[in-house]
Amino acid sequence: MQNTHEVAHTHLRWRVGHHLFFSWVQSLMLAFDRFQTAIDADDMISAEKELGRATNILWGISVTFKMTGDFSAAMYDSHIRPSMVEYADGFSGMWAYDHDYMIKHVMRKSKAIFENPPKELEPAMRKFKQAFTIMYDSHKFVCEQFEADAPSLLMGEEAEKTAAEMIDTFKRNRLLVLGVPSR
Amino acid sequence: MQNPSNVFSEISADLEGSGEAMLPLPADLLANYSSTQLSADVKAALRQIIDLPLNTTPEDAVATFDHALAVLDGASFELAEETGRPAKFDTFDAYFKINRTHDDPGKAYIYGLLASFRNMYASLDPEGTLTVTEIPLLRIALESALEMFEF
Repeated sequence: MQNTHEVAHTHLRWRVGHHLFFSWVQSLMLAFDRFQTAIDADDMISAEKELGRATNILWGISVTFKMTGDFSAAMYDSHIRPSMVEYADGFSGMWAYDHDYMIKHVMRKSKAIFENPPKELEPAMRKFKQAFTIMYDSHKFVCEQFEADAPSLLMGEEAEKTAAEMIDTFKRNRLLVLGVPSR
Repeated sequence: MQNPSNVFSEISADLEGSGEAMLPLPADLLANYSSTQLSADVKAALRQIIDLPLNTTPEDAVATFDHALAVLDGASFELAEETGRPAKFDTFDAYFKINRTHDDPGKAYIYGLLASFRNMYASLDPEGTLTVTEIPLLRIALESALEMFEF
């Protein structure tokens, strides 16, 4: 039996977790901007520092995903998913403005350097890509707990991919934005 | 010593009445963050957060964050009525109760990050949610983010 407090707390957890995620996305934007500025100035020491900063933020995002989804699948099915479906047709994480902006206006600027990193940035790049991959795996882990084989909200019942499979696709596409073919 | 579950209930009850966020718009933030000026009071409050032990209790963390948020004075930011972006983004923000401001984007970013972090601490369950290594990972991420500003 789900009591009123549990329902309120689940909505709160969902909301607070997303607030923190969007703040992290803004943090990543700034770290990427500083990274690209350092690259443009041929300052590899600063570039390495900013890449390390972005990596730390990615680990924070991975933990945030877990915290955000720390409630039962029953609560998700009976309260969270319906609240999104009923809020707007096609409601989707793709409508998250900060994330959309970061991909289209910030990350793409660094594609060239990710495709051909200078030797001195290779270790920091490797750590960044590891954290980036784990971040998506963390998101997929939470998604699979709730959605299992369900289609994503955006794609609806006619979707050919499950929500978790969509996250794999996003992961592959985001890595491509950075010039990194995923394995 | 106070029972942790009582602390959790009190903080949680406090949260249920608020739970909104305020963030700058990304373009404003990117264009202006490097010129952000922080007062001595704000710098001192941020330093107190950085100095919190990684294993600090949620109630001590919440008190320190509340002090910083009071110094940053969230009420002084004027909320944007128009964002000039496609409606789907406004819909998404509205669902998650996110307000946007054009005011002082660097400070608004710091306020938004600290407020969401504070609310994360306040919504943690006393028995679990995050492990002994996960909360420090969040804190390291927070420090990495805040240290982009001079304080």
